[in-house]
Amino acid sequence: MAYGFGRSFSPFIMDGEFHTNLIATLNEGRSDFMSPISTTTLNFNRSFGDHSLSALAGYEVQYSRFRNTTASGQNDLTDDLATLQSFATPSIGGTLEEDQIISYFGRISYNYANRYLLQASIRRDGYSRFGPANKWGVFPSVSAGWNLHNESFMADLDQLSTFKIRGSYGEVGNSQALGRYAYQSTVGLNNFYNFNGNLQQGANIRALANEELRWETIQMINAGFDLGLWNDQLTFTAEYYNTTTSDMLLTVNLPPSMGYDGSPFANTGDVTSSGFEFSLGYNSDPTRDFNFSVNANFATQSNVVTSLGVGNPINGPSFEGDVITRVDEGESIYYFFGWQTLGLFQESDFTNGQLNDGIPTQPSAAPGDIRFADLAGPPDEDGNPTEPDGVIDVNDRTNLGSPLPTYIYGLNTDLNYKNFTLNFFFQGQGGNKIYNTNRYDLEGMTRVFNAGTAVLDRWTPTNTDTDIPRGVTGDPNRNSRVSDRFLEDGDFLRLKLLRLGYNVDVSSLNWISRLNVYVASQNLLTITNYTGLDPEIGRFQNQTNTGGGNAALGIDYGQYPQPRTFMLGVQASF
Amino acid sequence: MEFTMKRYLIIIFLGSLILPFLSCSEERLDLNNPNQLSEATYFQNEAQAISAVNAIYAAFQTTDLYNRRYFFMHDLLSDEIQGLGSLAGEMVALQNRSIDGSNPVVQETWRGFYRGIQRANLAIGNLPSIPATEISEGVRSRLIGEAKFLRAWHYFELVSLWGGVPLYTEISRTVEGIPRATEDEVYDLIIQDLTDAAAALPETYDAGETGRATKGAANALLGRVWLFRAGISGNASYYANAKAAYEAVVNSGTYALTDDYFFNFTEENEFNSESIFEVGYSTQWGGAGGWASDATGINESTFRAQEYGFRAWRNVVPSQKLLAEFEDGDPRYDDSFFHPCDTYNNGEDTIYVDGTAYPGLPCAAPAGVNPTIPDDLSSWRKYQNYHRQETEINSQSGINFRSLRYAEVLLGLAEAIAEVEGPTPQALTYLNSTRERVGFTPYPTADYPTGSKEEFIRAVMHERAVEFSGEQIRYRDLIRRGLLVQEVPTVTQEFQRYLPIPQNEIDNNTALTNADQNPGY
Repeated sequence: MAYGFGRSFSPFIMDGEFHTNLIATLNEGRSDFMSPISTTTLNFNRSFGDHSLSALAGYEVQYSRFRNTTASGQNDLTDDLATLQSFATPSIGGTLEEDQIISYFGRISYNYANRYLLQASIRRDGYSRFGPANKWGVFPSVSAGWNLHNESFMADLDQLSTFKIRGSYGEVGNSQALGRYAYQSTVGLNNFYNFNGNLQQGANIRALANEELRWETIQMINAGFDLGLWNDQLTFTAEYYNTTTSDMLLTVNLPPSMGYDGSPFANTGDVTSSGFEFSLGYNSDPTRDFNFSVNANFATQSNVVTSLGVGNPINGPSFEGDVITRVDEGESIYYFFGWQTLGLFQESDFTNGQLNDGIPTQPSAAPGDIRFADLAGPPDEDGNPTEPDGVIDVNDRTNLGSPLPTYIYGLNTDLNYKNFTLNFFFQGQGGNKIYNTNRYDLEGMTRVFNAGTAVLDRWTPTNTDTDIPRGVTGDPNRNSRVSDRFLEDGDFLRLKLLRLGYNVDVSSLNWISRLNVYVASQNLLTITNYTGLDPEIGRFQNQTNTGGGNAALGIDYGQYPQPRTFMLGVQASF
Repeated sequence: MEFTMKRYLIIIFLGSLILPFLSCSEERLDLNNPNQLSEATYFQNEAQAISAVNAIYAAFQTTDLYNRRYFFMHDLLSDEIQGLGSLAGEMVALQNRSIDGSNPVVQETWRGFYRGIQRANLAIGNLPSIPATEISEGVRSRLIGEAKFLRAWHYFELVSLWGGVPLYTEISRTVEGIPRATEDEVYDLIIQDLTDAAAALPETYDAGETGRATKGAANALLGRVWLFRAGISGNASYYANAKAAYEAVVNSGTYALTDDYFFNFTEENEFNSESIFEVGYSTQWGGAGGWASDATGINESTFRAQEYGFRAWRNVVPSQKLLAEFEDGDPRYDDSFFHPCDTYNNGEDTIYVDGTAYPGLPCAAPAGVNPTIPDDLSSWRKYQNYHRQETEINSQSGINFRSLRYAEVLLGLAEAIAEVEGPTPQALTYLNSTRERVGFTPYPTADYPTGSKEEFIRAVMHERAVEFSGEQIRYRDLIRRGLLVQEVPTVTQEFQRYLPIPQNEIDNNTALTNADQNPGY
C-alpha cells in the first residue's frame, strides 16, 4: 500500500510583454495505491536414497487499485493565500484504475545424488489488461543440469571445485507497457468549442481499441557451463542464449487518414535475439594485507525480426516529417531508417545549373547540398524493392544501423590494502547508433537563427572542403532529412564509479564497530566519439511526440544527461 | 498459548480485510474502465449526441488546422504572401515547392482534415441508433446534417488539394488501411453530404448555438465545390449546379454584405450579416493549449495574429504581387494591410521605420525609439488586432475565421451566371456588389472591361483576389482556372497542382505503396 501527496503553486508573473501569468494557480493531489496478493501453495518433498523429488502446486491472486484525487484553484487577486479554501475557481478531478492477475502454477524438481538436476514447470496466467477472449496464457518450462565435479571420474581433479553443464527452455508471458483497458474503445470528453462565446463540451474516440490484444510470449533457450577452480577463487561462466519474442506487443502507427490520435498496441510479429555471455571472476585470499577481487563480464547480442504480423513495416517516431526508426522483417528491431549521404555536391558536379549526366537526379540540389545515395527504384507490383532508378526519393531510404548495442561489457574491481579500499567499476558498450536530433537545430540551418558554431564551417564557394552543407533558408534539398548525417556511433566506455575509502581503526571504542571515510565519483570519465551530451541516453518519455515506448530507443531528443557526481562520505556501523 | 491464539485472530482479521479483493473467480479479469465511457454505452441521449457533433467543430482548433497550419498552407501555396527570414523551414519549402511527402505542413494538415472526418463519421454512425425516446427527431436530423456539412468541408479540402484520397464513411475498427478513392467518388460523397445537410439544417440558430452549420453554409460550400469541380473537370454543366446552390443562399434572404468591409476581420463584429460560417475563437479562455495538435482541452485561441502580425513574429507579409493587384484607390487596400507610417492602436501609435535605411519615408523612428518594423514592407491588417491594441497579447487571437462569407456567394454567383448565360446585367450586378459596398468604381473599368465572357471572368478573378486576400480562397481559384503555373513563380510544372500524399500515410497504410504517390513526387 502506498499513499502520496503532491502540491504545486505558481504565482503571478509580470515580466514584460511575452511572459505574463495573470493568475496564481494551486494544484493539490492525493493518491492511494493498494495491491493485496494472496499465494496458496502445496509443497511436496521426498528423498529416497540418492533420489530427491520435490513438487509444488499453487495459485496466486493479485489485485491492484490506484486512486487519485486532484484539486486545483485559481486566484487573480493575491499571491498571499495558498490554500484551496482561498481560491476562487476550484476544480476537482479523480481517477480510479484497477488490475487483476490470477495465476495457477506447478513445478516438479528431481535431483540424483546432486549430480543430475531436472526441473519442469507450467503456469497459466490471466491478466485483466488483455482482450476479452484472450485473458489467459499457458507457459511451460524445463531445465536440466549436470554437476560434473560430483562425478567419480572427476574426483582426481583436486583443483576443480565446480564444473556444471546446464541447459533450459522456458516460456514466460509478457504484457509490455500495455495500458489498462487498452482493448476498450473509450469516449473522451476533453474537447471544447465555443459557439459565439458559449463553450460546449465535445465527445470523441481518440484511439483505436484493439480487442484482439493477447499475451506476448517470450521463449528462452539457454545453454552454458560454470567452472570454478581452487575453491571457486577463480570462476568462469559461459552461456549461449536465444530469446524469441512472439506475438510481440508493439505500438502500431496508424495511417493518419483514420483520424485517430493514439497509436494502439497490437500483437505484431516475432523477434529473436541471441548471443553469448561470459563472466570471469577472481578473489584473492582475503586474509592478506593486500587482497583484491576482479569481476569482468562481456556479452554479445544480435537481433532480427523474423516475422511481422501486420502487412507493413511498423514505423517508430517521426522527426520533422520523416520516420526515424522502423520494425521490418529480416532487420534488427527499431533500426534507423533513412537516406545515406555521399558527401557534398561541388560546383564541378553541375553544368548550367543541372547535375552532370551519371549523377542520380536530386530535385532542388545545388552546389554545397548533400548528395544522397541512389539505392532503389519504386517497388514492383508485389511491393519488392527494385534496382536504383537514377532518382533520389523515398524509395532510397535504407537501414542505417541499430540503436541496440552488439556488445556490452563491464569490469568491477575491489582493491584492499590494510585500511585502504579502492573500488572502480567500468561499463561500456558498442555497435549501437544514436540519432542526435539536437544537431538538426544546431546544424540544420532550416531557419536563419539560433544555430550552433558548426555552421561557421558550412560549404561556400570558397570553403568547399567541409562536410557541413551550404546555408540556405527553407533547406530546398532537405539536407536535414533523416539520414546518417545526424546518426552517430554510440560506443562508450565509462567509469561509472570510483571510490577510495579508509577504514578508521575503532577497535578501542566499544560503541562503534566500523567507521569508513571515503571519496567517490560517479561518471567521472567517459570515452566516446558521440558529440551529444551523453551517449548513455535514457529513453525519451514524452510519448505523444515520439510515437512512444521502445520505438524511441537511441533517439537523443536532448534527454537530461547522467550527472557526474563527487561525494565525500562517512559510513559508520554501531 | 494465549499469545498464539491472539496471533491467529489478528491474522484472520487482517485476512478478512483483503479477501474480498482476492476471490479466485475468473470473471474478476473482466474489468471495465471506470474513468471513461465506451462507444457501446455512450451516444444514448440528446446531450451526448450534441457532444459528438461539438467534437467535430473542435477539430478545427488544432495547430494542424486553424490554430496554425491551415491558413499558412493555403496562403503559402498561393501568390499572396512572402515569407520573411524567420519563417520556419518547412513553410519556406512549401512556398518554394521543394516538397515531398515528408513536409510537416503537408502531413499535419492532412491529419487535421482526417481528424475532423473521423469525428464526423463517429457521429454519423452512432446518432441514428439513439432511441427515439431520448432525442427529438428534429435535433437528430439537424445534428447529422451538421456532421455531414463538416465531413464535406474536410473532404473538399482533401480532394481539392490532393486529388483522390482514402474515403472513410465510418470510423476504422482495424489497423488495416484503405486505398485511395477516385476524385469523382470523393466529390459524390461531398455533394451528397451537402445536399443532405442543406435539407436538414436550419437557416439560423438561437443565441448560444450561433456558429453551428446552417442551410446557408451547406449551400455556400456546395457552390464553392461545384465551381471548383467545374473548373478542374472542364464540365461546363457543373456551373449550373454552382449557380443553383448560390442562388439558394441569395434567395433565402438571410444574408447581406456588411457596411464596413473591415468588419469581416475583427473580433468585435463576428457573426455579422455577411457571415455564413465561422471557425470560432475567443481569448476568453486564455491562450492555454494554443499549441495543441490533437484538439484535446480548450484551444480557443489561434496563432494567426502572432504569426502574421507586424508587432509579433511577422513570419510572412503580403507579397508585392498581391499589393500590385489592387487598383489605385481601392479602399480595401488599406483595410487589408498596414503600411509603413500608418497609425495603429486607435491612432495612438505609428509604424516607425529605420530613418537611415529608408530616408524617403516620413516616419523615421524618433531618437531612442526602435523602428517598429526592420524594413519598409507592408504587413497584414486582416485578422489582426492592432487597430485597437498596441501589441499581440500572449500569442493568442480570438478573431473568428470567416470561412464562408456572403461576398463569396455573390462573386461566385456572378461567375456561374457568366459561365452559363454569359456576362448578363444580372451577373454584372452581383460582381459589382463588393465594389459598391466599399464605394469603389464599378466594373467595367478601363483595366477590367466586362463585355465578353472572358473579360468578365478576368474581372471576377481580379475582384476575388482583392476581396478575399489572405482568406484561403486564392489558391483554389488559381487551380480551377488553370493559372497556377502562370501566376505562382515557384510552380513550374502542372503536376504541382496536387500536393504529395504524406509519406507517413503511405508508410503506415497497409493499402498504399509509394506507387500510389501523386505523379511527380
